[in-house]
Amino acid sequence: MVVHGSLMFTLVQTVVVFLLLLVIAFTVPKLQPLLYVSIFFYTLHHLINKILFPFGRNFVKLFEALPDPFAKLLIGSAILYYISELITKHIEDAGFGSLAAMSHFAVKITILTLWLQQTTALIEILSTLISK
Amino acid sequence: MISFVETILGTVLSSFVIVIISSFMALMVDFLFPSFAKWTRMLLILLVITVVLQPAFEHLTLIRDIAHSISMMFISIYPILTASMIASGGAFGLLNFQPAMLLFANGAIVLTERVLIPLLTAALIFDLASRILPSVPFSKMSDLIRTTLLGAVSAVVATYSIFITAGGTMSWALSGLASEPIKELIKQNVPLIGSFMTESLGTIGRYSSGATIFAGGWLITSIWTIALVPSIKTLLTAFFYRWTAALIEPFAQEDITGILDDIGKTLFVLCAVSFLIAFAFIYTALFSIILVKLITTMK
Amino acid sequence: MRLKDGIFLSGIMLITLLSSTILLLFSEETEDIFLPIVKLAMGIWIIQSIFILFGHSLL
Repeated sequence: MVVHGSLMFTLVQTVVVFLLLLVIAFTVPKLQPLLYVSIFFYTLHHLINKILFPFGRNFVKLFEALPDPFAKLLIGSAILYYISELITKHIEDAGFGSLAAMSHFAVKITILTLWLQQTTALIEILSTLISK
Repeated sequence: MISFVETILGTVLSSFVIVIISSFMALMVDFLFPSFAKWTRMLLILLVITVVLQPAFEHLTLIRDIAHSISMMFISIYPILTASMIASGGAFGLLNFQPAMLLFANGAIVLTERVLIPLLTAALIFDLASRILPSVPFSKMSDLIRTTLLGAVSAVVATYSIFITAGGTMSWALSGLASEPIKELIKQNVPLIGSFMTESLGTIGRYSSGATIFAGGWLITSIWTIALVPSIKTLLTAFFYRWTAALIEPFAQEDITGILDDIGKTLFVLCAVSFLIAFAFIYTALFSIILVKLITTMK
Repeated sequence: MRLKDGIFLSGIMLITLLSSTILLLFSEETEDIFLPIVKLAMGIWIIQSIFILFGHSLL
């Protein structure tokens, strides 16, 4: 029931945002890109806080049996990647393709940095095997 | 036994560790630069080939060298053996040792050195080529070479066993209920050459059990060990290639696991070929020992 | 030995489940790009478990 309620709420919210954007496009077309960006990011922030994070936390709890870093790392990097892609697409739509690519790349490097600790531990063990 | 395994795998192990590390690296690069994927694949394949091919080629040269030295040895002792055989008269009749068989066994060695090992190298090269450039495949060719080699080797071994059992004087000491499950196990678990291995081991076993009367048991055992060490080494290495391929399949690229698998297959055939050599070696050694024993006891 | 045989298998199963659910949420071309991370996780898990199962003497 809770899920149902929040789903309805989200849909209504999206419709309201959409209407608001239409109104903006109709009344102040010159300011439209600016307002669009701000409303987009506000909605994104809201969605992340209300849906994505609780879901992620539940998801991590679901896979608690997995030893510590794996579930968190996987879900965390998936969420990061998804958000980064959304933002990238948004920036691209505004016409700044190269900036979008750059930010996406930076997020990718961040994700890899999350994994780097695990990987270095493993590769250290492996390299002791070689040098032996 | 453990240290024996370790010395074999030690050289191979480090190259596989390099393969694992580089496939992790390739994953990261793939994630960061998806558009670079083709280049990553190519570079990774080159790296893996340079690292992984070396132990395989070492085994090929090892077996070839052994074949070469055994054929040299045979050429030098064959005149002596035949001459003394004529001198000792009919004493060999009851033992079912035939000089033709000796010639045959060592002809097989020459065959190995001249034909089989170069063909195996060719199969390896064809496999690699078809992995590097999948649109120009040679996989049928290399498969054909491998099956043909296996067929040739089995034919030679079958001829051996015909030679040996023709006289009917030999009885196989290892036979009976005890060894059946082991034979079955090997047959089921060693791919390609399992049944061949049990057959040939059975044949040699049948032979040497007859010779145990003349030479001591420990001597037979040591001859067996010396003859079979290269084969076992090759077999273990081949298994190691396939195990690694299975282990890294989930996260490495398909080409890499394919390369490892192919090299493993070729090494299995090489193991079969090395059985031929072991055969000839055991035969020649037993022959010489029995000859010496006969001559010394007759005098 | 902290890691028993069962944990290795259940880890593989869980990582598979988890990543397949995550990949469901992604669009198709994103899936291809994100796949290396999943493979990385699986690889780290497998190699780590192998080390813990067999490799204490090798460390």
